[in-house]
Amino acid sequence: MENSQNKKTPLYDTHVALKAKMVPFAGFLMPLYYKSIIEEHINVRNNSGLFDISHMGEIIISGSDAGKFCDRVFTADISKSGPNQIVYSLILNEKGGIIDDVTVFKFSDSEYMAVVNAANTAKDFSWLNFQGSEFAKKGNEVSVKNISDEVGLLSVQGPKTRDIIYSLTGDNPQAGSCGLFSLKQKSKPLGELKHFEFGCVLFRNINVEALISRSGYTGEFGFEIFVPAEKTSILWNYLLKNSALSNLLPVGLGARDTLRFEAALPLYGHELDETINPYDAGLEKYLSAEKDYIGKEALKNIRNKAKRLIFFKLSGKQIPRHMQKILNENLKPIGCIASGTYSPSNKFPIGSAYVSDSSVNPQSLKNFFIDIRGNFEKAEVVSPPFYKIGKKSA
Amino acid sequence: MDIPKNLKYNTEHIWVKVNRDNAIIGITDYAQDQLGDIIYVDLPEAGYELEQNESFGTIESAKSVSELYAPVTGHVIRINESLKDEPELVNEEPYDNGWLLAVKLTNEDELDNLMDSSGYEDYLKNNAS
Repeated sequence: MENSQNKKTPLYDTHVALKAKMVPFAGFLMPLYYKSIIEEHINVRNNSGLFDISHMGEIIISGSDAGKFCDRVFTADISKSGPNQIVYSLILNEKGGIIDDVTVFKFSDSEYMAVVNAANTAKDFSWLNFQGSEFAKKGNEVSVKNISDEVGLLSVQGPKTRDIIYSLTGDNPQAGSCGLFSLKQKSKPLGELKHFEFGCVLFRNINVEALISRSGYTGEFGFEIFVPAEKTSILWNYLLKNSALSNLLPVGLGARDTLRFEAALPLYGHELDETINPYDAGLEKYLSAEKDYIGKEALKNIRNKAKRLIFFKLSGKQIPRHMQKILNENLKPIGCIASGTYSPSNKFPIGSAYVSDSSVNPQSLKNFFIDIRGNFEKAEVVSPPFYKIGKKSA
Repeated sequence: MDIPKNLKYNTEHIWVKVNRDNAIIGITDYAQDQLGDIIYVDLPEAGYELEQNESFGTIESAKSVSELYAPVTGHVIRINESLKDEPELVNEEPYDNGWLLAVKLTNEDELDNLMDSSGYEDYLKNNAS
């Protein structure tokens, strides 16, 4: 990919100065790692890590019918959630295929924000914008706005994350302006935020106000911090300057992937895409039974799962890669790899695969083979996740 | 970037250390740095016939798989067995305990096709990202 065609996050120069290995990802030049994927991964599991995830997209949905609109375009119950809460959801196409998986932040009954995968920001925005205009034609009031370029997004993850974030922030429990955003409901104190809640904090010494959510993509305790794009490097440098508070190290996308996969969190383009429906991916719990949403009608007819997602580990050392074939014990192809990686926490290769052969019962499948560049490597089916807080697993 | 003077190099970032008709082969410091954490090295067994510029194995890092291209033609005498349990030696000591193969050369003339350390240094400057 041509470098000039790739976008840069506000931290591009900072990553280069830290000698990160930069790679194109989802149309952005992003750090793959600074020193070592494995070291960065282990440091998130043991201490804490700092991620630049400013490449992710933010789409604001507002208007007096925004809640009704969200309930139509997202599969989960959105409008029912309380202010300052986050809901994980899917966006489906009319056929029930997954357009994206997103988190939806509720500010109020008339304002929401979808945080979307970087690779899908343009696609999601054009889909939501189109659905918004159709919705408006029916006399509803909703508007959809892509603010991704205005937002810097950092993630701090790991068991010691509290030590650094609590020390550097003061609560800002007023309703009203919070950096780029405006909270309609006053924020809980930071220490009281539960998983998938958000609030507002002030990083005192640098006087940066930020929207902060108890969320992440690592299976660890952590925060995601939304700031105006131009404040991103101020905050990043300030956190790294105080890294001793939590043994904070910058973490690249390489470890972001191994961390999310150990926690069995899906990645769009691997576990999810438009040819996969929520039943295939095992995400049916994010489908609301209580409302109508785009794709629901189609899903009624495809409840017999065409594909099934399974997770596995390998006793060999070779790492399975996306799209490699999986085979049964008679070496007949039965599906293909979704994700494959080395698990730094477990020190062996792990992966996920879609079984597409309907004659195979995934519940009784114990072992299978993976064609890794002509070597048939034996894999053992395991139940996810590969890592849980405070537990050695798999 | 460390580029020892006493070694020869091919354009695929493999070094070879020649002592008469014996050679040791490994990947360069630049290569290990580009690959990042090495997880697995797939090498042929002793007895395998290497052919210059042909692939003889793969090296796998957390993020990618790369082919290894032979800098010389010859018989593989020994492989670095330590890499089975400690592939990270390739990252830590690429010119030392992270070596890959010991080879008996069968065509020493081919060594002329390789670069010396200053040639490899120029090659990196002109070609590397």
